[in-house]
Amino acid sequence: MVHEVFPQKHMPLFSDSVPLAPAVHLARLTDPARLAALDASLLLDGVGLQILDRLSRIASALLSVPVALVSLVDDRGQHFPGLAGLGGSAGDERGTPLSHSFCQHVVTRDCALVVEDAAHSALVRDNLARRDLGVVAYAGVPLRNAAGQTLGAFCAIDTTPRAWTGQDLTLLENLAAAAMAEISARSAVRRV
Amino acid sequence: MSEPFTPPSDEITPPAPPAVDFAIACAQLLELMSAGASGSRLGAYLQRAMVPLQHGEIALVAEDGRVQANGTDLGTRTHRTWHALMTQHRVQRVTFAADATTRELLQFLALLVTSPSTPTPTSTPTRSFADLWRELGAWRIHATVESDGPEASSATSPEVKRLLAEFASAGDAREVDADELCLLCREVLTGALVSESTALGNALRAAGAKATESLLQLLVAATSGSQRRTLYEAILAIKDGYSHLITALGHPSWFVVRNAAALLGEGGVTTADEALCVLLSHEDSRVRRAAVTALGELETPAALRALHHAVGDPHGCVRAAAWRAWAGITAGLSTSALDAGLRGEADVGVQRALLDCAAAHPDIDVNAALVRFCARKCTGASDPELLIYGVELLSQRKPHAALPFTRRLADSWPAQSRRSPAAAAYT
Repeated sequence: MVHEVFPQKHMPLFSDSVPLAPAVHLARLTDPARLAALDASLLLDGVGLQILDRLSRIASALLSVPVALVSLVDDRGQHFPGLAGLGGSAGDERGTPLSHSFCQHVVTRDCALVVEDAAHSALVRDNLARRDLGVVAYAGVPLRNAAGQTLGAFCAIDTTPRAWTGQDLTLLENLAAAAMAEISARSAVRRV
Repeated sequence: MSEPFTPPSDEITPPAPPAVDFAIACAQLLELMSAGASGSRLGAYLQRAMVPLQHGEIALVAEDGRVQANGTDLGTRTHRTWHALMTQHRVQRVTFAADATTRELLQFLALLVTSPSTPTPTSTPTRSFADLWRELGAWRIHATVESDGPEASSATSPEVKRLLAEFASAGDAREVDADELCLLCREVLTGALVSESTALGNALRAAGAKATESLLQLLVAATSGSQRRTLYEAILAIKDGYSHLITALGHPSWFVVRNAAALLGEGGVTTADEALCVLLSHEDSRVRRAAVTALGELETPAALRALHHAVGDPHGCVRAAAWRAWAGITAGLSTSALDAGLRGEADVGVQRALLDCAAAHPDIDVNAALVRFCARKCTGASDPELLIYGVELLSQRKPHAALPFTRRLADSWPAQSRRSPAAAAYT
């Protein structure tokens, strides 16, 4: 079961039953301005940031989930400058290809994504993260910068089906705001 | 025996692992660099550079200035050779013979992390080899060997090479006389022996306490920080003759006392605890800090008593060192002291050390102090890192107490870093 969460009615609506056209999905992932903002963060390609790891650990502890991630999504894959509980090569390399990414849908739809059980979701049923990373339940909210570009997602992952609550998403959004503030602050320092 | 090297082939059996594994070399490079290297971008490069060596089909061996692939000689070991191999083939394992210099390893590393064949997210180079090499070179200069820049060559003299060869063949049976020791110590100072650090370490260890005494004299007379650091590391490698260091604790120069104290701590010389406790009254805070750290390593009853006093030192760096020392000590930490520290400490560096200490002792109940700490951070000046650290600790110990603070986390950054009004509107 997949729900998109739209806390306010004026947010753009995308439904699981109406998947994004692949061309639209790709165009949003490869938006040059968004990619430039991602590059400016200097947080791609395996870079880890302690403060973002801490935010991920807070999410993991408070939501009682095994994995929480600060995920930045570019046109090559997703990068985890903040992570908690992710082992294996994805954890070591702090990233995966897009084939293993639920977060890309948060980026291209520009809204929160909640998956109670990936096995029953048309959107992510075939995603390799299910097989290789054991992702069953997923809740992710956008990481959006001051220019309104969605750079990635702050997400919580469970290995068993889970009914996410409104409080869970509120917590994720609060932590996402903190993560985005840190990412923006780094980019601002770099611009200076 | 390995199969001949045929680049397009998919069925090549790698040879048995020879001399120096590149992964080990990377680890050694990390050690050579300053303490923060493993957490730095360059440290990440080094660690990631080890990954591609686990993939692919070709095994490279660098020896006697030449390079071999699966047993087949490919010619002189040049940058061009490496570049062609690393960009055109998938390499399984790279080994260097003992004559490989640190410079060469760094050069190879630079190639590896910019190589299109690297099966990691770095496979798309974000900057040129020249840029990366410049960065590696700059870092290298900052490390122990000042004379070995990106384009410099090893300066080991033939006499020292002969001496080291003798030690390599004779092992511990070979004794070092005073002249030889001086020669080796000079080499330590010039930093020319990094690529032969194992042989040097063996030679100095064979000299034992005598070498420590000589190096200590050099340490006292050293004129630069890098010299002191080099000698410090050489003494540490010997692991003998530390009793000489206790006498150095009374030296008039603060840096000699500081280095001796640190060496005594790292060497675990428990008999030095009383002498180190005396240093907590030293007028120089740098000496007191080194003494506190050393006492934390020793963990003797006298050391623990002294550490209880050290958390009240007037200088923040000493208090921070004391709390970090407590973080590494398994027993004897006073709950009330930690609680009082979290309640009253104003110095940011000490606060961080207090949180490190609290994190290392989850059994100690300081939750109320942590709540007050986080509340203070929410209302006081912007300090997101400490607030997040405090909330993290609370989330692990008392989740319902951490929850209210999560709403305030983003507010601890400067206003211009927080999310845009448009982004905030829908939450």
